[in-house]
Amino acid sequence: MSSFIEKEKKARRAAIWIIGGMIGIWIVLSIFSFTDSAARKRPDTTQVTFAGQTALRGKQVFQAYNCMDCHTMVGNGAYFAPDLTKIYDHTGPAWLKAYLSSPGTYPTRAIVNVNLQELIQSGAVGPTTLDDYLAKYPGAKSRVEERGGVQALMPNLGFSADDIKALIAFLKYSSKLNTGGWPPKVIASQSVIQREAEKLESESGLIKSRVTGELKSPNSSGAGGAGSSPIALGKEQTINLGCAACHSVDGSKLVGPSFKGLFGSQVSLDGGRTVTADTAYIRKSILEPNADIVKGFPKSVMPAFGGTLTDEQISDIIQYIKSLK
Amino acid sequence: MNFQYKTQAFSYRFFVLMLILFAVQILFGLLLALIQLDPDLLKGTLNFNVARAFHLNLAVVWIVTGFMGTILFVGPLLGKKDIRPFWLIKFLFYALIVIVIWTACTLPLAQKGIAGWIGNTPWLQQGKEYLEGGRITDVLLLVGFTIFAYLTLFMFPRKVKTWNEMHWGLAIGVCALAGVWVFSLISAKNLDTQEYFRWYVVHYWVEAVWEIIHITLIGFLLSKFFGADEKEVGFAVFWGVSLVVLSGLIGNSHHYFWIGTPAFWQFWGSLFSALEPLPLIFCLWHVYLDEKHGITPVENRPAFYFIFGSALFESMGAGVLGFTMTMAYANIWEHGTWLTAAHGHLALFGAFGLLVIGATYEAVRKYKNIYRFRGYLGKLSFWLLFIGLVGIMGSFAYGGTKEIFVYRILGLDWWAHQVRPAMANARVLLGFSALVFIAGAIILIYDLFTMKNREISEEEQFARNNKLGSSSRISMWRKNMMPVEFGIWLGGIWFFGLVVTGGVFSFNLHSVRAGDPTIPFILMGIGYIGLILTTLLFAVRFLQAFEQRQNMLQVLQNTDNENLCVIDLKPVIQVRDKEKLILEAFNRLNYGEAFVMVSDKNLSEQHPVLHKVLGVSFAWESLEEGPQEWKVKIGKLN
Repeated sequence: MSSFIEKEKKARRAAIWIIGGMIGIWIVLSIFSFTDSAARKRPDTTQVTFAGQTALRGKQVFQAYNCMDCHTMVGNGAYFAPDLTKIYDHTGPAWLKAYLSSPGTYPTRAIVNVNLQELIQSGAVGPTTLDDYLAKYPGAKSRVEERGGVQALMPNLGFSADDIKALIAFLKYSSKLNTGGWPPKVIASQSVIQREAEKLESESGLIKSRVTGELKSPNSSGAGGAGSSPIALGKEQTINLGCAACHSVDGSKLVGPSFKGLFGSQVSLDGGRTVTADTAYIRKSILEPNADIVKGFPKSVMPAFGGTLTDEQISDIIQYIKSLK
Repeated sequence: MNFQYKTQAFSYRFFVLMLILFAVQILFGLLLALIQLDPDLLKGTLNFNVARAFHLNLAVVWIVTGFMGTILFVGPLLGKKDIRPFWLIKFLFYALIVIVIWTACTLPLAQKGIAGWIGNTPWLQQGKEYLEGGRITDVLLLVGFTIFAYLTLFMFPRKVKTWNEMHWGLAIGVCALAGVWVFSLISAKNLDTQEYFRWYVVHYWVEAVWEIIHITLIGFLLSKFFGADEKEVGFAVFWGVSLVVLSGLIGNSHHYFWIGTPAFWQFWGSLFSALEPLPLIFCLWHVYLDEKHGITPVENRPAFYFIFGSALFESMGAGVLGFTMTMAYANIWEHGTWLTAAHGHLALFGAFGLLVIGATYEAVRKYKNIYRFRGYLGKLSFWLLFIGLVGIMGSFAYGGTKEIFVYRILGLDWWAHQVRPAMANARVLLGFSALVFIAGAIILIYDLFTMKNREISEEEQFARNNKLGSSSRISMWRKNMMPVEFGIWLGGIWFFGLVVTGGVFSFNLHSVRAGDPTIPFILMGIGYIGLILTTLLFAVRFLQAFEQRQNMLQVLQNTDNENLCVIDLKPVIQVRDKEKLILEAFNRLNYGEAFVMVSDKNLSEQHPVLHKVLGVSFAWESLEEGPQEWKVKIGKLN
């Protein structure tokens, strides 16, 4: 019996030594975890920036909205919404900016273009055409083509313009992380993927509900006979541009004020002024959206549409808004 | 109240608080299941992420509250001393309530994007999974844990040299509970550093600190229940805890595969994660051994059910399911999918939740001064919680398997129209399982608060025991479980666990990656269903044998020792003849009957012999211990 106790004592001492050794290995490995080597360099949130915002601030916005308890980031999170680690590489900054401005709806081609032009003008993105951009970011291309104007599941969180830029900076940072080959590359052929995707979509039971009406390419406007009145042309413009993602036509509050009953109404602005929503006001709001911000709505979220719309198109849109009593 | 120490009475309020938090937590769980079904539900009012933050944080808090209650309940027995001052316990209790209310007020700020950043420190809430509370919550909790560690150590003897393994287990546990929490105070600027230290808290809590506390408490509770030898329990506790540290310390690095940390972790993490189930199997094995120790019937069978369930789910949910997904080649597919949630629900509620519920049953019984009570509601709630829980796990596993194929293999990422529909059936299943679980929880809470109504008087118990009677045959489900059979059940659980592991690994096959999911779907389908059924049947089998054993112990308690058949071993000289005589007498017994053995030598040496000859299915009660005569009552149980 006593020899058993001796043996047990020895074994326990050995176990404690082994655990001590493990702690040693652990500490050494941990130190190497955070040292840069020639093969891998850790990106730094204070170095990565986008449009004047650091990724560090983006990380703070990301945490402040608790994004991780719906999405996953480096695979950790809630599995309720897509993983965001590499989303920047996939869709690029212009699509992200367009989407984050009104997360309730997938941005249309036109709205991505407006955001792209704005980013180019501010110098955040080098000069490029929309087609080149979409070719560079296939995720943005497929999203615009397949989902532009379609409702998304994400709630409208009302990000400010700076929040959005900071989030993009953070997502730019996270896409630079060396995640050791995760998520694994897709090697299935396009035809298999296409087949499965179609099967799932038909099974889904959810209708791909576009926010308003049918989607048309912006270049084909005015071709149809029914769409030749100014009101119809204006409506088409608002659909193609994705206005409805933020401005409802039924009076409900989305990201921006509703179009319903807007024309001719009294609008109270930030700073206490009250103006009448007439043709000049709406025109100005389209061209320079940040000149007058309606009380209770975020600033700098709507991109400026100057340069993308002709005078005629703007007046069509105003006619359409006028018709929404 | 029926307590030796006043400190124990304080545990009751912790258990009541725990049950309230538990109830709220599972209601949030139900809400999450409903939002999974209809993503527009409460959108803008209570977004999914806020509801989930509540669900996670409450899960952590109610289990920690339960641990506190349990340690206050058993600590004085272990230290043979009350806590002083008492007001510090009360302070801890109210502080806990304040922290919960404060955190509940700050978590919804995530909807407005308010974190209270000052510099790089989030004071109000911080959007880190499992640690969503802000710095204020973190600091308050650190104070709370420190007070709790102090209170626990206060109960123990001053001289550290006199501590046994259970003192050490609890002491290390409560100190590490506070010590590990310090890492929650780190706010790193980079994501990889932040995730690295987040897992220090999350992993080292559940896979090291909580497990140490868990193993120690199980050991201690079982020795209270069955009078298991303290030395033996001490042995189990030391090696259990050592194995936990040995495997869990570096095993943590299965969280470091893909978060931006170097690739060498994939080797270390895979290797040591594969060892992590060892302490859990070890623990279950000791529960199996201890169950056969007692000779007085267990008065609180529901408590035993929950403690057994805790060890089982720790082995199956934390151990086996953890094993299926923590090796790098499996983890690369599993990471970031529902499979993680399948493991998480069993490992957290299954292992830790069930244990503190078991302790609650015992504490409530003592607090309300109940000696015996009818346990049918407790057992019903156990089975409903059990089935609900494996249902929840099965739903996540099913959805996760589909998710890997759609999201990772095909790379489809249109969440609303591709990924969600692929998992639609799993969501429905999840909702149903959640309802079963909640039914169990309602019955549980009702039973605990009205236990006094089901108290059984001495006479009633006597009548019930007589009704049980003895029988010559029992069903094979109620027969004693031999070690070999235990091994077969455990082997079955592991077999299906390995099938699942094979299924997860098979996503690496070229044919699967090219778009044919047949192999993983078949393997994981068989594996998960097999795992669930084997676990369920094993639990039924184990607890049926337990019931039979306890029933027969009760019957034996009723029998009059004077009228028993006596076997006199005095004239028998040959050991072989003695054994033969005993064996013959034993074989003639019906279940629930006994005989008395008389000898002029110490009979305790016969105990291991009987063990060898008869297995372990007998009751052994010493009636007289020398010096002229030794008398032992031996009964047939199952």
